[in-house]
Amino acid sequence: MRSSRFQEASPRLRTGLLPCPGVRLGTSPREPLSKAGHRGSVTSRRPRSSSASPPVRVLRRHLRFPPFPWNTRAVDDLLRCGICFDYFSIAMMIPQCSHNYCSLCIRKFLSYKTQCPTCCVAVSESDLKNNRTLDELVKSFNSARKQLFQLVLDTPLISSPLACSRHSAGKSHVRSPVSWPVVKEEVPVIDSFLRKEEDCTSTRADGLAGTDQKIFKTEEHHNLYSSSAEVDGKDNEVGSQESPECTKSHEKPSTSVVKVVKKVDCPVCQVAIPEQYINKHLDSCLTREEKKDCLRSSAHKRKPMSKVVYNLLSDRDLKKKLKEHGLSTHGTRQQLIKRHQEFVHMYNAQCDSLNPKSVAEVVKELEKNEKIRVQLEFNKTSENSLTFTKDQTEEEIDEIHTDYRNKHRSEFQVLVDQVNNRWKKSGKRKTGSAQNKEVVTVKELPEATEHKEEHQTAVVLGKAQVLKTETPDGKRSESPSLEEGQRSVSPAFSLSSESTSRLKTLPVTSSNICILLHRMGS
Amino acid sequence: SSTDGPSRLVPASGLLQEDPPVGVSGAPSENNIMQWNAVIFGPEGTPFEDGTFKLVIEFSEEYPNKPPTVRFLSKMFHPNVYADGSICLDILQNRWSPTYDVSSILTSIQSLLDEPNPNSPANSQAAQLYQENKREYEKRVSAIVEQSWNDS
Repeated sequence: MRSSRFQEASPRLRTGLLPCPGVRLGTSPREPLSKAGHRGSVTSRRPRSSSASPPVRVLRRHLRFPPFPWNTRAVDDLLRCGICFDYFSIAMMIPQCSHNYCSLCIRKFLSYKTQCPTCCVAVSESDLKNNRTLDELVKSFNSARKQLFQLVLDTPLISSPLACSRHSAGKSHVRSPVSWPVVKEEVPVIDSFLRKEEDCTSTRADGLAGTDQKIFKTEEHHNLYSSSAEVDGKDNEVGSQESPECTKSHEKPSTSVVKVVKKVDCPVCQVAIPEQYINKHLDSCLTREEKKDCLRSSAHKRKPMSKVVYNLLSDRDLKKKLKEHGLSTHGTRQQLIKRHQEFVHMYNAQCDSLNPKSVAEVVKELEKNEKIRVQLEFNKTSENSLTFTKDQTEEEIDEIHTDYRNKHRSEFQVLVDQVNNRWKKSGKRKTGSAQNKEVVTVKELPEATEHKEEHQTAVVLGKAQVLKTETPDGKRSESPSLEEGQRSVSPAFSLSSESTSRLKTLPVTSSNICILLHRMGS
Repeated sequence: SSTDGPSRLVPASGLLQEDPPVGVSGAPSENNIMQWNAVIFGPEGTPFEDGTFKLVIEFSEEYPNKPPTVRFLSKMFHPNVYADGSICLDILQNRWSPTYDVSSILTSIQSLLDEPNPNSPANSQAAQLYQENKREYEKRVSAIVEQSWNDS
């Protein structure tokens, strides 16, 4: 049963990891936005699963789960912000509509438009409320996800007993860029996952002597004992305990202590403490609680900064404000304003966190983002972008367009091929309109020229020219031999500038992607 | 990775999902992640059918809080497309939402092709023909469809 479920899931692996060709025009679940009155349809039109992410994250998003048969993906989608498409970071809810976003994302957006990006309900920054449950969900979900990936990476690709060592498995992964194991070979992956999970739970059960509900309490006990051990220095045996067995061994001293000492319950952690240690314990317990959870002491909550009306601010005052927080005062007035605005957004978003980053950390992050932006802007200017003026003639505009198309000819060809391949692979378009299919094939393969009589001669000529001009650079002759998936993925790789550039040389296989993900620390 | 954390610095694709939208494709142009090249195929069963229209999408620093500029690079004959290829579409202007990605932009433009809004014409001739002389309108459209095959 387990394996059959897995087989079901495995086709998803191939189509899901790579751009899927299996959809045809008009049947896409993604309805385009209607031009009028789209307001109401925005939420339904764009299912969360269709949201995407910047280059690196594009991959993560679509490869975030190994092909396990349970639907972790739906959960994953629910835990992402609709603005940055990343997991919620300090989730804030708009109470009016219950939509959630990262604190920083929504605060920034509200400085442009005071409405919910999804449903357009009117919102102001002061309406936003923390949704800490989401933060917790993201946290635990992320660690589960990492474990899943780790398991896949650790599991031998070759169908072999689980005894196959981790070490060699990892190595073979890196060395040979084999694609995902076929169904038969995937079974061990899942088996090992289940096995490991069992192992994991059984160890846990052993350690806790089967008392599941007491997990947290027992941990508290452990803490208590190590801290009290520090206090009196006598209880070495317990104080040195680090291993899971501590729970067992701590029962020994506790029973022995009980005979002698009266115990009281700690009001913070509810653990019974020998009376003589209760004050010391309480001190450590309280400080620990504070560090862990500022929620209890609202006095610790950082106050958000108020918005600045920059028009009323002189250059000098503006610089003074920047310096106050250790921000750079270099740049034009506009840049300074932008910097300060960004800082206020970031700082205020941190105020929503239980553990706000320090001002210095915020400044550092801001500087990092600025650097990235500068780099992006630099690339923008190095690329000759399209500039139009009002009084350009149609010919002049045509020339600009043609120039650009020519300059990016091969890139556009890849895109056209991508669309064609999706249709070709789906095969569904044949039934719909035979002529369409032929147009597609003519453009796809030079051999398909027999279809040309169905088109006007002028058109066919044009196409023939296209094909001819493309043969010299070898692109056309090569591409049909390439795997469709590889071709469609590669542009995605090229987008993430530095980190993935070297990957262009690697054949794009799922295992490579997995390794990449792993390297990125996802 | 360096761009981690909230607030996107670079555009989101949405084209690499399990079920990518049909008849559209896009990717950043070489060396510039803020400028994307895209292709929209004319929707089936419309005068634009079979057209392979090329576009360029330019993202500003303020993306995703401000919409990108989208422009047809292929000759276009459409009530809502200006002579310079720029597009008059509400979701690219006042109805922009940061929740849109490249994929949703492209599918919206694709559907705009056959559902023009003649009330806010960017090309008055196209708007007029669309309303008063469909036959001539379709003739003009098929001309640009054919042109789109040649202008690679």
